[in-house]
Formats: sequence, structure tokens, C-alpha cells
Amino acid sequence: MEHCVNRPKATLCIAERNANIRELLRREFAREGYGVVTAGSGAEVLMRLASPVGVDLLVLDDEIADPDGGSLVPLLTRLYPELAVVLHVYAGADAAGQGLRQVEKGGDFERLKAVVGEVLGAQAQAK
Amino acid sequence: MPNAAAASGKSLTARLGLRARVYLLLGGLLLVNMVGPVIMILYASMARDLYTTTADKDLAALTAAHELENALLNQKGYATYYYLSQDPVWLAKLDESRRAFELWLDRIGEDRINPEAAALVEDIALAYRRYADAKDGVIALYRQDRADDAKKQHWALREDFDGLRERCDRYKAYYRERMRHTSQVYLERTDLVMGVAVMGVVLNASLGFFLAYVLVGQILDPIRRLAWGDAGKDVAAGLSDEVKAIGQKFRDLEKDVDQAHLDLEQSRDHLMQSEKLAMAGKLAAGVAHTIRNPLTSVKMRLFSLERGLKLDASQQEDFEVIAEEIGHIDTIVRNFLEFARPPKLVAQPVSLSAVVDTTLTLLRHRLESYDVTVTVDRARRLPEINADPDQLKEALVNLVLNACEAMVEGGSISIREETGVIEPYGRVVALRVSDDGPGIPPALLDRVFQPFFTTKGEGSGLGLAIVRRIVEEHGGWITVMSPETRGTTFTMVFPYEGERGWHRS
Repeated sequence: MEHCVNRPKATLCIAERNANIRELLRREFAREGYGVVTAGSGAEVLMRLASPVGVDLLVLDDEIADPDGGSLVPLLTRLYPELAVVLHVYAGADAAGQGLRQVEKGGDFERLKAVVGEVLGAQAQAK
Repeated sequence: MPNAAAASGKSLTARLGLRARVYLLLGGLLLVNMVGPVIMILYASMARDLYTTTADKDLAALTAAHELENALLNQKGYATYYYLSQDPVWLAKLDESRRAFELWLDRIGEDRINPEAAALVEDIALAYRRYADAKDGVIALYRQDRADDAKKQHWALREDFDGLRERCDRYKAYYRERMRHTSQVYLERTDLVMGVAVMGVVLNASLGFFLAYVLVGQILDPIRRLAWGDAGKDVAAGLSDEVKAIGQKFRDLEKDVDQAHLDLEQSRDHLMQSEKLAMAGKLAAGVAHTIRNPLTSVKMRLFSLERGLKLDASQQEDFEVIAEEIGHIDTIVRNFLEFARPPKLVAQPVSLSAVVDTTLTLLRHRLESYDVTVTVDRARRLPEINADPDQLKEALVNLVLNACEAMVEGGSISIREETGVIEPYGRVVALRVSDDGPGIPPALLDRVFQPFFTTKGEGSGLGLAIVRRIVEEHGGWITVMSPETRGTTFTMVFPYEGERGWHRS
């Protein structure tokens, strides 16, 4: 994370249905210095993204549905095409977010941390 | 219009059932055979009557006319002899001849039915009376010795005699004509009887022919086809009688029906079992899906915990067991969700050889940890088939890991790649995965592909069920062999369109 040293850490939105997982990820990413907001449903995700606090990256639980019960990904890519999204999916799941970075959801959350760092780094370089 | 008539005739024939047609033809035959002889008997009887009544009477009348003429000639002769000899004996003969004449005249006079004949008889009788009276006058003159007067009158009597004879001739001619006419009528009736007989024969033959046609074409042939089938006599070989063959066939059919009924009941039981299993599967899949989230949460917390804990040896062992068992639960849940997922293949041309290579690369470390060596028996790379490489890889991984787990203290696995032909599937490619482990007892061989069947403490019992499902989704099949419970060989076979190898039916 050396390339991030001279500027403030990005703000993440952790979207996860399971409250305990959500809280663990919030704690772990906050420990890394990220600004973290959390969401437990599709509606909450949309609310967080619409709030004045800017979100740089969304960690999205693949099972979070939009308010109509469908996948949230198409709605997000239409409303926030520039938003970096990392899909947190179970192995073997038929993830809807084709073209998005996907991380397998398991016990080891260090892989998720690494991928989030990579995506944000790539985003910073692009800017 | 002829077409319409033919069509209506055809529809009438079609409307008449087979039974009606047979009855109609039998009825026709019976009618012809009854009516024909009745007509012939009737006409034969009429012909006999013709002879016994008309012809006999005519013959009697003709004979009588002949006798009248004879008696008349005799009377003329006896009168002349008396004139020449003056012997009264001739007069006695004359009287006798006259009685004979009158007798015959009375006899023909009895036939009053025919008016023409009756008039002729009346005429003959009148003329005869006149002639007989005149003859008596001549004889009286002879007796009085007045020979000259008698001669004159006698001579004059010739004309009466000729007239009388001519009447008798007319009477004879009349009856000759009647006899000729009777004969004509008889001939006509005989011709009619012969005509009826010929017609009867033709009708009989026609009806018999149609009956035979219906019997052969619509009864015997269908029975024969039913008995022996279109293919020939092999069905009921040795039975010459179609009805016996049908009986045999029906008995076989009954057996087949019983067997089919039995199979149906078994299928129904099987279906009920499958439905129960499917329902249990759905429930279990739901449970597994719900468990997955808290399980992941537990795994994450364990991972987090592991980083900061300072544990002594026994605590470390406890922790590791907890982590291991949670990993086991995770495997069961993942396997189950994989088994329960709806089939979805992403097919592409792929060689099973490539799948084998990728799988072995992927499993290299696992195989080393199991102390298992793998050899690949490959003559040349297998041809490409249309399949989902990830699914095939998963199937092969499951087979190889299953073999590894079977061989407790390590061993060797052989993967053999083959191509060939199996009827009726055609060309196939096959992968044989053999291990030298303890093998599978024969009693368990049938059950290894059943979901939740496992002999291992840690197994989910779904690994081989998933393999079979993947193979079957690709249109293939999997078999298992464990000869003498030493070593086990799983063979996955997939059909493909390509070059020829070995051949088996």
C-alpha cells in the first residue's frame, strides 16, 4: 500500500447480507485505514451511494438483490458506470457481474483485501 | 356420376362390417341353393303333369280316332261281303263293328274340356248316325231282294263314308297338332329348368368365389399375419395352425403384459423413491444454502482469531480440529450445492487429454500429499468432443481424489485414454481411472453412485454422484469395476463423431 501513503485512503462501501461478516470486513478494512460505510441490502447500497460521502469502491455480496429482487449489478453499472466494484461470491455461484473483479468468499479475507488494493491502485493510476 | 356411384358403392362396402359381408354372402349362397332346386322341382313336376295328363289324353284320343277309322272301314267291308255272299254272318260282324265304333265314339266324347275337339266329335257322331241309318236302309233293300235299288243306294253311300273318314282324319290331325304343341311346351320348360340350373351354378360359383375372397383376404390372411407376423414364421415356429399360433402369441402377450405390469409397478416405486429423494434434495439444498452464510462468517472469524492467538499445544490442537471440522462442513455444503445446482453446460470443443493434463497439474500438490503417483496411458491425444471442460475437470478431480482417499497409504493411479465404437451409440472416447487400492466389495458396487453413499468418515457421499451427473449431462455414462476386490476402475464414456478405434456391441 505504499502508493497510497501520501494521500487519504479511499472510502469503501461494504455490502454484505450477513451482519457478522459485514462487521468483520468493516473492522478489517477500517484497520487498513480505509473509510468504510456498510450496507445490508440493495436499498441500503443505493442509499449509501447516493449520500454526499463519496464511495470509491463497492465490495458487493453477490447475493444482495436490488429492491425488485433481481441482481443489483445491472442497476449499479447503469447508475454508476465509473464505480469500482468487487464482487464477493461463493465458489461455483453463477455470478451476474460479468467483467467485474470477483473474489471467492471464504474464510481467508486477505485475498479480498489484496484485490481491493489492486483495483484502487489501478484506478489511481488511471486518474 | 359413375365415379360418384363407385364411391357410394365403396362407402357402402366400407360401412358393411366383415361379419355383415360374410353373413350376406352365406345368405346369398343359401338362397341360391334353396331357390334353385325349388324352381327345378316345380318345373319338373309341371313337366311330369304335362305328360301324365295332356300327353296321355292326346295319345288316347289319337288311338281312338284310329280305331274309329278302322271300325268304319270294317263296316264298309262287312256290308259289301253280305251283298256278295248273302251270308247273315257278315251282318253279325257288322253289328259288332258298329258297337266298337260307338264305344270308341263314347270314349272320345268324354273329353268335353276341349271345345274344338268336342265339336269335331259331335260332327263325327251326327255324320255316323246318318251313315249308319242309310246303311241300314241298303241292307233292308238287300233283304227284300231289291238288289238294284240297294246297289244304287249302296253306291251313293260312298260319299257319306268319305266324308265320315275325312272327319276322323281331321280329328286325328287335331290331336297330332296338340301333341306337337305339348312336346314344344315340354321342351321350352326343360330349357327353362336348364337355364335356371346354369344360372344357379354361375351364382353359386360367384358367391362362393366372393366368400372365399372374403375368408382368405379378410379373415385367414390377417389371422396368419397376426399369428406369424409380417416378418415370417419365426414367432411361432413349429405351429402349422394359425389359430394355435395366435393362442401361443396371446399367451406370450399375457406374459408380456404381466411383466410390463410388474415393471410398471417397479417403475412407480422407483419414481416415488426418486420424487422423495428429489424433495429431500430440495430441502437439503435450501438448508445448505442457508448454512453457507453463517459458516463463512465462522470461517472468517476463525481466520481472524488464528492471527492473534497465542495457544499452548493442546489448545492449538483443539483449534486445528475445529478449523478442520468446519472445513469438512464447508466441503459437504459446497458439494451438496454443486450437486443440487441445475445443469448448465458451457460446451466447447475440447480433448479429454487436455482435461487430464490440466487436472493433474491442478492436483500435483494434493497427489504428493497423498503419496500417489499417476501414470497416463495415451497412444495419442484423444479427439475433441463438444463438452464443458470445467465440468469434466471437476469429474476427473473427484475420481482421482476418490482413488487417493481409497488408497490409505499411497499407491498408484493409472489413467487410460481410449477411442472406439459401441453399438448402438457409435464412436466413443473413454477415460479409465484405475487405482490399486483395496477395491469395492461387490455388494456395494451398485451403490457407489448413489447420492449420500459414502464409506469414508469425512465424505459428503456426493463426489461420485456428481461425477455421474456430469458424465450423463454430456450424453455419456460411467461404469465401475472392482475385480476380486483388488483395485477399482472407473470408466467414463462419451459419444463423439470421429475416427474409428475398437468395436464392441
